[in-house]
Amino acid sequence: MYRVSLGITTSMSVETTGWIAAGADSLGADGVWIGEDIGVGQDTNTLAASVILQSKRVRVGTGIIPIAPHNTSTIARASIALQEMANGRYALGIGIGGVQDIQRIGITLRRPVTELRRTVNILRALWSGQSVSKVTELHNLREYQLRLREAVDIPVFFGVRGPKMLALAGEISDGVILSGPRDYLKKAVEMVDSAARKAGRDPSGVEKIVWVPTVPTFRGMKERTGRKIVALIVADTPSVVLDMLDLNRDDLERIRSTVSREGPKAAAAMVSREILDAFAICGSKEYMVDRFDDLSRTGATEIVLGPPYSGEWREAIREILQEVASRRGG
Amino acid sequence: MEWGVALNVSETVSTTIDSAVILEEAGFDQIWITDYPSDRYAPVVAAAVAEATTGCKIGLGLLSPYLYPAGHITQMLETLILTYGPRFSVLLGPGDRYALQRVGVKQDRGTIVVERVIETALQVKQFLVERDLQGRVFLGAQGPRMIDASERVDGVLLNYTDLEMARLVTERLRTRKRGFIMGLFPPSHVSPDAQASRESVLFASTMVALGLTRSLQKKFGLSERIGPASRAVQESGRVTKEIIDTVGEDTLHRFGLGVTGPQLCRYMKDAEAYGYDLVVLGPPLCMSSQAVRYAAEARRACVE
Repeated sequence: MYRVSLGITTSMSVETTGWIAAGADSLGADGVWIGEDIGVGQDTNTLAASVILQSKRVRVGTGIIPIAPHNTSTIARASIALQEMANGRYALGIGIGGVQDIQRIGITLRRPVTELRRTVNILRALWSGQSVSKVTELHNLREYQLRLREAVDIPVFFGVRGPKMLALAGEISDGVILSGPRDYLKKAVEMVDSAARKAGRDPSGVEKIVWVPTVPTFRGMKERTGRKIVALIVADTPSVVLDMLDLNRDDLERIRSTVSREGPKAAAAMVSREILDAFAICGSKEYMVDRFDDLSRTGATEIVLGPPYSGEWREAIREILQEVASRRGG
Repeated sequence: MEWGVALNVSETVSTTIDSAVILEEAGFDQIWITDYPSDRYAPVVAAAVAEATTGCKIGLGLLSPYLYPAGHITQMLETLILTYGPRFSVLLGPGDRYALQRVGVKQDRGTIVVERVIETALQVKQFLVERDLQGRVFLGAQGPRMIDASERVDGVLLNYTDLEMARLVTERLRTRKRGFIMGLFPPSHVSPDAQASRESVLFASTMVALGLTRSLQKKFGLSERIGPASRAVQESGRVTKEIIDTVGEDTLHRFGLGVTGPQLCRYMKDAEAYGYDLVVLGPPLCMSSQAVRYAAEARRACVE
């Protein structure tokens, strides 16, 4: 049976993230993943610390920290502190971040795949107590070493989308956090597994976390909220991903241009039920957990529930997790 | 007079938590979490300390604006204050130039560094006021420009020990505003053996001494000792035994507090008499659990 986790982001209020952190264990969630909205709201690592401190059982992961806006040394030493506090419950999720998001803060990476590989190599060397000297497009470390008394083991997850990145995830990561339309997710899992096999790894050793928007309309959340979010996601999805889908490409392009011209609210009306279902999980609790089951059959090992959080979202989370527990026979 | 200790050098988070609990129970008012670029990330450790203690104030720093822009510092404070209450302060300063270089961060030279630190401190303070968050912003200072600028935030912490040198602050800030904190944050060690304590702070004291600006070296009559040592460090990028010897033990004891319990008690009373509100016992004290326990005993004995 797959795991079910709760997703939060740094732009959420401390009240919301605190409720989820404090309740994650008792609600029956298996984990909490924290997405970084670059430069907005709470500090990702401090938020991760507060979630770890308010929970006892669930895994807590960042999903993801974009590597370019942060000094690698900061990621390394924050992870050490978090893993020590979590007694093994912490997972570091990293990625490049949304292209538009990082361009907005003036960062462009010429070789993102190479830099992500280097970042993982550097982090693992630092966590094992080695001194690292590395000067690259993204890194500038000179005889840098963490003051550790013993090596610390921290699983590294990738939040990535493109084929080369997915192959890298299969080759070197402990898991991958996937988001995107359903047809794409199936192909992405296949690409990760194929790369893992090619690298001589057991594909089942690479976790596949699926984090797509969940819109529980049975507890006050409006379907149009879901359509608005999906319009935004369509606009931000790379063409290489859209090309993999069995959806009318003209419809998708119309949504993209409307979002860019008039915003997501105007484009929401163009999001058909078919497109909504492809990009989000929207409906009753039974329907939503049915979709979780579908994703599990395509290789997902963990599903992340939420955001957005609106309407009676606390009740919705409780009921969805109860539905999952009842299907587990709990 | 408030007593503080700085934690978080090479210790694990659980050791830091244990130390914080012992020190708070002994009556220490403030626990500071250092943020050296090779040590655990301060706001995460601060959250753990806040969870484990009941009411002591918690400081983050020294934080360098060259590693963390103002927006990042405000993000740390927002989570900490809204989750654990109004217990947090930040100390801003340039940071260790050589340590920052090792992580690819290049500091400016001269007055630009001071301006950047001050600008960042004011931005963080403004954010706290606008969001109605109760947190304090301190400047880590040695020279007059930073000391003067500290009047626009909540306080100033000096990182040397010599109270005659520290008189520089009290003289410049004679008409300080209500609630403004003047404090000292020197390298420290406390043990029953005075000589062992003195030796324990030599390395850290050298680092502080080498950070002294030329004008202050001249003002305090230290140019002949610190100048050659500074040049040697610029060449090698490291502090060696020879460099420590070049500065000399007597000079270094103006920058570090290596003392016994009774000596610490006397120092705290002297600092208070000079007009100081706070002394934070900086590293390397926290690296020894024994020294932490002894500092706790010293605090109890001093108050009794």
